[in-house]
Amino acid sequence: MNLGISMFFERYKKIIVAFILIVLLFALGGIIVPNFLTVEQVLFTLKLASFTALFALCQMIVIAAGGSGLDLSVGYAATLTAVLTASVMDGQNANLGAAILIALALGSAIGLANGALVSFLELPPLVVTMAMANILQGIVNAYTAGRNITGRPSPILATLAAKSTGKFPNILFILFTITVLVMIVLNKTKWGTILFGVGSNETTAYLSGINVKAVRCAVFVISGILASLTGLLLIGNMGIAFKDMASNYVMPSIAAVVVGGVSLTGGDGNYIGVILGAIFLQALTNLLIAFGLGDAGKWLAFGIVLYVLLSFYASDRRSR
Amino acid sequence: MIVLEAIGIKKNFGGVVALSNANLRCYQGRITGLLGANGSGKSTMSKIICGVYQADGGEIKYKGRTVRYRSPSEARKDGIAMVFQNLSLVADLTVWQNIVLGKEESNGIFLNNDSAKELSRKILAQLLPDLDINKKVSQLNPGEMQIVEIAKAISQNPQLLILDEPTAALEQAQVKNLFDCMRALAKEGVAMIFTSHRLWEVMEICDDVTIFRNGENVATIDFEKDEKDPEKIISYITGDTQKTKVEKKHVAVTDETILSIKNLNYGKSLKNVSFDLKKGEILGIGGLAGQGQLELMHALAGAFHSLHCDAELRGKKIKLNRPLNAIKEGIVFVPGDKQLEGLFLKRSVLFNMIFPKMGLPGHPSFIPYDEYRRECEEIVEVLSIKTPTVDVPVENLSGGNQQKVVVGKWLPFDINVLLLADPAKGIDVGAKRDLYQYIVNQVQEKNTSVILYASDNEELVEYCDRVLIMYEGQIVASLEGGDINQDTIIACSMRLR
Repeated sequence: MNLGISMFFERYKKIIVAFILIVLLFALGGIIVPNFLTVEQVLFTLKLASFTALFALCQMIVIAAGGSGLDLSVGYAATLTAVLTASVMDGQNANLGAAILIALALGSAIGLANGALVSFLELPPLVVTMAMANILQGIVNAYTAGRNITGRPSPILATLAAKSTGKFPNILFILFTITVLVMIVLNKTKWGTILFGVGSNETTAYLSGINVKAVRCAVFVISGILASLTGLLLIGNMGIAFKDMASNYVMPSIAAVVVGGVSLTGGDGNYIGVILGAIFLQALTNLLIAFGLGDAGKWLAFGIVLYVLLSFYASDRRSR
Repeated sequence: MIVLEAIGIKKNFGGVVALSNANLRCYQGRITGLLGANGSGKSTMSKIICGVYQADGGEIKYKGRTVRYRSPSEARKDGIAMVFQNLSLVADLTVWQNIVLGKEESNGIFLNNDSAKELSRKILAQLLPDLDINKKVSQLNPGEMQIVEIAKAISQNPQLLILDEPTAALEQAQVKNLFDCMRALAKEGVAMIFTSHRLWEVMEICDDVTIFRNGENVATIDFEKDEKDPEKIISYITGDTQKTKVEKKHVAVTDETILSIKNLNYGKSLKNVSFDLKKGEILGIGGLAGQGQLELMHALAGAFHSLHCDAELRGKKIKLNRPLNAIKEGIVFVPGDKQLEGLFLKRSVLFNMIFPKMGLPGHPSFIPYDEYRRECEEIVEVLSIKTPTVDVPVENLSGGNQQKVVVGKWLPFDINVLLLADPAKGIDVGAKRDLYQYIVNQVQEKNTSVILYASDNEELVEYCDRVLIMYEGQIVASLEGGDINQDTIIACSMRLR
């Protein structure tokens, strides 16, 4: 029994750390900033954190497959999707299906390009996805140059992404559903086992009959599709599309994975932890904004949090 | 004079006890052997002494002073050097650069290369005079790498040198050089700790041995006073007096050819390899280290995509250019380097055991965990794998138990050909006996065919029905019956016959 409890703490240590950090942050905010701890404010924080959490899901899947995987193009794929689908939707529910198809096609094309270059040409993911990010931003800039982006999200999309049921933001239902699905796929199906196996030791996985390259390619396709769909939700939330709308989510998406305790070397991943990471980062941002520290403070704080946690986890690994 | 004394050392990893109450003494100018089953704690002991791990309890006295090193570099400053079992060399640097790595003598800004080369040459002169010190480490064979590793430790002028299975990768001539070198160091007053699974090596080189079992030292034998009795030492290691040899009561090998390999070629490492494997046969692959044996095992396991080979299983053509193709035909592979090629160290025993099923076509998307868990617990039972539960990460298990997991994961499969690449490497006498007992049982009961590559010729002599000797990627001899003996194998390996 004792062993069971200690194993539980050993396994979920990092998630417990993330949870404690969030509680501390909210407590601190509640003491210093008036109205920080009201139900509305907390739910609003969760709503904003949802988008980071969705981008962080892309990141987590790519990172879990190992091979120093990382997807820097997620925010740019989302922006391009939002910008292109805005006029297609044109505020009509009837056009939502077409918009989703565009998102799926765009996401898989971007993901396939990333994945093929990384796994079949064996180029480093960091460079490949950075190049992809630049290409996508270039396309967005060209598309938006000298004209207004017209079009609004379909009402259904706006309801899902921006509106609330009572006080409860609808996007949280979506996040909850996705979380349940992700947990099932990762922990109960062969796909999750294969993903973690490839991430922990590609040679063992290969000799066990797994097509490692196909897996490494597939994670980028999944990441691309999820990023594009998240782009749709973003335009639903914001009501308009603009050229820098999602690029600011790239760094937080990686940071959320780190705060969530997912090893950057691959082979594991618990999405609950990653969501906690996203909430922590959002709460931290809100607190800093309340202090009037704004953007500069946010990036500075993110950087410091990353350093502290990474060195904490690294020293933890060494002592084993 | 006692150089090092470890008293009552304790160490746990997660829930697994590695050392419960371990004691050890080393003397100036003497070589102390450490013996014990895998998981007995001898490796952990060495690593605690040199600062890789920190003890949870107990005391280490070095030259009369209590020490507690937090890292190997702290221990190194005090004159304690360790030769690691898992090589710690930088592949892209040359031999001499590796030897002086971390202690480069600098002349202002520039490194003093000439003196560094001179030092490397001097140390290697004794160990491996033919080695070109300007070669990159990535171009060396495993034996040469191990020698460089040893030279690196010696170059630090240690007063206590820990050699953790230094001979596992070496050929016999290299072992002899190493022993000469160790004797010279002992004359200079260096204390040494030496571990090896080859009993005769320990008996030849050591002045005394301490035997570990279950995290405790159970006996110390001083060869100057006590007699060298291998049977007694083995009984201390295993804790029982069971005989150590596995009975090779063979069902006569059948005439039915199960696997036929023709014209197998792979790059420069395998040339025109052809052979037939009979049903129920244990076919040995021998030869000097690094003659293509490991590549051949990998090729048969389907690891090489660009392999050229005409392979037939029971007369049916098969392709061996993907691991899955081999697995589907019941050709399964137990790699020699279990940590690099056979395991997911951070994952549980259960995860490791069920993983090979995941790639099979038609495997259900949802994993039937209840069934698999039961099956896994049965395998743990059958192979007597020592683990608290199947949910423990494999990295917490000892080397021998890890190797059993690598074998165990294939048990649920319908095995036609079992490929074993040096399965007993780094395993102790007890685990080795368990393993071979199991393999021989498989052959007897199910008529499984086995291809066994072993770097230890004794294993080939003991278990094989036929032995193929490889030299520079080719099969140069096929030994049968009475020809399977140490002398003939060595003679053929060196192309003397």
